[in-house]
Amino acid sequence: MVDKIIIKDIKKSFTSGKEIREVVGGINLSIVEGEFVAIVGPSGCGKSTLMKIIAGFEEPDEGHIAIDGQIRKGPNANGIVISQHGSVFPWLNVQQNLMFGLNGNDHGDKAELADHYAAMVGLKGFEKNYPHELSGGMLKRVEIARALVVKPEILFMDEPFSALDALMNLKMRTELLRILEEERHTVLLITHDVEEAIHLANRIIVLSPRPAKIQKVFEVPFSHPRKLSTPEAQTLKEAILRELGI
Amino acid sequence: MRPISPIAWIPLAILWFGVGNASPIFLIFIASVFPLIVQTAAGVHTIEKRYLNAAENFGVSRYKLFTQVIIPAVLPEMIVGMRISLGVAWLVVVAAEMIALRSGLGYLIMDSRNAGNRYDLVIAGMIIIGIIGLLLDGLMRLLEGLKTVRWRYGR
Repeated sequence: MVDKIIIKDIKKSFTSGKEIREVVGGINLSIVEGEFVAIVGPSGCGKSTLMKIIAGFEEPDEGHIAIDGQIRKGPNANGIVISQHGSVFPWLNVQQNLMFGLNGNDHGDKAELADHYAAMVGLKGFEKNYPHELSGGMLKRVEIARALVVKPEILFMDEPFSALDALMNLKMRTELLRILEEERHTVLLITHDVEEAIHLANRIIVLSPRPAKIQKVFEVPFSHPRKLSTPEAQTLKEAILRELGI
Repeated sequence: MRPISPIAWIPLAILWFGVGNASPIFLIFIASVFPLIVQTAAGVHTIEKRYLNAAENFGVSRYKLFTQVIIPAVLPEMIVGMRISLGVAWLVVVAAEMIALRSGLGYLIMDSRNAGNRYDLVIAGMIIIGIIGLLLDGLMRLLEGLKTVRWRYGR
């Protein structure tokens, strides 16, 4: 197993006025290729800041991120962020959105590639529709497909499904697992939904309140498809919730 | 320069450009350039960070960032600016014709009044000005119906 992402002694503080607030207080973590890691923590604990640092949108004050042994400097198409509010461009139709990340001419027929991924996430027939004509769940599918088109090695998901209703949330998790069966990506998921983490991840990292440190790591030994109603899953859920102080 | 009414520029425009087509063109430019600049600048400021982040994430070229993110994101505001500009420009055209020119609807109105109080022609001129103004605004409204800008006006 090769370490895909190495997070080394990450610290980050923000200053507001005279006050210095330490948000991330020294995090060390290694993620192997193809692993699905979920990070849970109390709200406002610095999970999102940590994600921004790992994805390259924020610079850490101390420490570094290495991906495939290379120190991370700024974001790139190797790891695509999928966030809570989404960033599907409303002025482009589905197909144009999916083709957005395809730079250069070495992709062959871009439209065909875009349509392939549109079909994969279940959006066949909606290629020419504009985002304002789609539902929230469909927009999420567009966002996931747009990320997959560029064949990233890593997906950074920051509470990706939390803006969806409970039913759609469950459906999208199942869809995501199906897609990951087809294309093996390394996934880092930030969530406050413990069930979501147990449903999806191989490993769950529980963060402490701010400044965020790793409080405890849980392995999720269950094979897919997972049932959250089994006693083992319930015990795990309770153990994680206890760590979170609930 | 912006708070100065474009109509206040008429004497200077005549002084600089004479009584021809150049002075009304100058006045229309003065009147319509500011709403466009203000709206476009406001549009650029309100581009949501998440779209810029996404573009940065995909590592697109500056050209693509400009043509596929920034311009389309600002286009709805630019169209609003164009609507305002065109409305103001039409006001200024009529005003300029009243004072600086010897032709046009504005001139018709002033001339009809001066040459024997022909208020029927004055009213007719006013109605035509109104109709043309409506048509111009209607044309701009068609632009707002374009699929690529509808997302901004929809909600």
